Amino acid sequence: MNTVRPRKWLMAALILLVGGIARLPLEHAFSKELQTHRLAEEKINLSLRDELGQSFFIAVIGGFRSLVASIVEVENLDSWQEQNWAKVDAAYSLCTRLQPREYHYWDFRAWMSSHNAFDYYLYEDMTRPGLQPWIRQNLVDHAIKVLKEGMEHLPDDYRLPRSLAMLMADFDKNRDANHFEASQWYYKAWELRPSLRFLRRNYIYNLARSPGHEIEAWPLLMEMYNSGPDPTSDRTATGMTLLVQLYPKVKAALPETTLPPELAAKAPQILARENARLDREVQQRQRQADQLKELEATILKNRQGSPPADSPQR
Amino acid sequence: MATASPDISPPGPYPRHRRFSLPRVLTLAGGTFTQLVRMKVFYFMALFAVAVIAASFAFADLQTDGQLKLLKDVSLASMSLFSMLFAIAGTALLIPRDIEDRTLYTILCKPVPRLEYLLGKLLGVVFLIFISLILMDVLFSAVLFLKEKSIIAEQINILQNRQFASRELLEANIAAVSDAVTGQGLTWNLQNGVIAIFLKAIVLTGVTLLVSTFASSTIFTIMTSLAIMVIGQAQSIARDVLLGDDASAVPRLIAGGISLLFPDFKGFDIVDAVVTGSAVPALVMAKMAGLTIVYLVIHLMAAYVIFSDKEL
Repeated sequence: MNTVRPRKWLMAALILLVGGIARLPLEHAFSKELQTHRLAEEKINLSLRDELGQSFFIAVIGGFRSLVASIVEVENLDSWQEQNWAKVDAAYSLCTRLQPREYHYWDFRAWMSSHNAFDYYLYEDMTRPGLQPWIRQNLVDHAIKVLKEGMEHLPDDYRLPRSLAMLMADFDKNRDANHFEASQWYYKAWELRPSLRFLRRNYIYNLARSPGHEIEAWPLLMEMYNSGPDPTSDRTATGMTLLVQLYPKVKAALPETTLPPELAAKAPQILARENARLDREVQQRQRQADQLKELEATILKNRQGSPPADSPQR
Repeated sequence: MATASPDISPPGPYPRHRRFSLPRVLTLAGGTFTQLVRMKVFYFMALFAVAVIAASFAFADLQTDGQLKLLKDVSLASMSLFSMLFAIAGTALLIPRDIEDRTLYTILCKPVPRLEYLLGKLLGVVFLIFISLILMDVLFSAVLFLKEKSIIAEQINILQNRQFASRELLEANIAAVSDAVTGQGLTWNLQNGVIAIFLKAIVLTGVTLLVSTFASSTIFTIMTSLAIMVIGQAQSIARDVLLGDDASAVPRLIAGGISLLFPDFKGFDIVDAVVTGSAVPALVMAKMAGLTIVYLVIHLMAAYVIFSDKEL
């Protein structure tokens, strides 16, 4: 006979209740501590249930959130190969909601929008020629929004401000590109990871290229130059070119400014090389723009000549 | 001829029977461990090895971070799943099996207190989970280490054969590889995730042992323990309702019942944070271990009260 006397049931229930009352403050304090250290999982939004489906949702509740996010990412590979960018973004949006503190979901979601989808609408999808620039700018804006949202969840990660800085400095992609804003994001990234010198150099380069900030950038560029000729130092070809380019402007504002003599001697060559590089870039951009215009014109011409898509077939 | 009478006096004072004896508990734990091992539970390692190795080779299309994360996710989720299964199924089987084999009567007719019997069973299962997790952890760490090395070699090869427009781009790429490896590669911090899985399994073992003391069948124990585990995953929500100011009396009463009777399993779910590279302070791990002991004591006490004079 498997019997337990009622008195014992009562005692066991009492132990559980008293134990529960005793452990409740401990559990609550521990839960708060996990949140403080950003170790606790983010609260689950019920809309996730519809997006994930029953089994994945249960897995998420059961503590397998990270695995579910990985599976969603893996399942998304097909959409990526099919270049279904809306589906790709929806999948990464799910990943970022499941694991908002996983850097690569944010970065990859933004990259998919600003690079992969952008290039698709630049080179491959030509069905709506007039709308293409608008679509492309929307993709870049979306990527910027994603990166900014990611930074709210990962305020200590230097990589998201760096990616944002790269987008803000990319004048080919971003109509709203702005060197000063790019410099500020690079600065933020460098503050978060001071050991990465290239972040600081990029901050200074972008600051030097920002109209009205030349005087602010000059001492920083000089500091880079003065770090010495060692190849691992901050004396870079870009830094020297910027010093030579800024010199006339800074000299006009601050007459006591001088260019290091060895740099002044090389200035004409540096400027000639830089001008040649810029000319090549301008020509390349022009060629690209001409090709695109030609392609768009051909598509429009073909479309005018062909019957409407919904006309009855014979 | 007189013969010497044989000495029939007792050989000396018998050692006093102790109310609680750790060697007895350890003997019972050892027996339980052997009993479980004989059920061929370690065959699961083959499945685990297949899962880990498959995850390490699959989906090479993913980014470096994605590949390493997937490997960690699959491995840690498998560890978590197997340890929970051991905790529930292993413990649920023990008392019914002992009754069926009559082993329980052989043990309890000796001067073995029922508390020691329960403790021995619990420690046996905990030891089995411990050994299983160590085996899984060693295999997982080895595969992750090899995967990390192969990715580093591949990335260095790519960087060496690629022309970069500027020094900054080269340095950014080197930093990206370094970040991916340090963030997603093999670190000591990952072991905190494994420890958390172990502690969660210990609590689940305690809960299942409590259920098995009054359960009428093994399937009842397994189903009830699973249900407690699922409810325990949402216990923190009930606790927030109980301690918050917004809820009315009835929801608060229900939330109170859930909060006081069920353990908070969500508190052990730090694996996601560990996978994303968040560092877990030693103090947090110490507090988690302390909470595990609190749960274990409560469940063991309740189990003992029920089992102490249960008619078997």
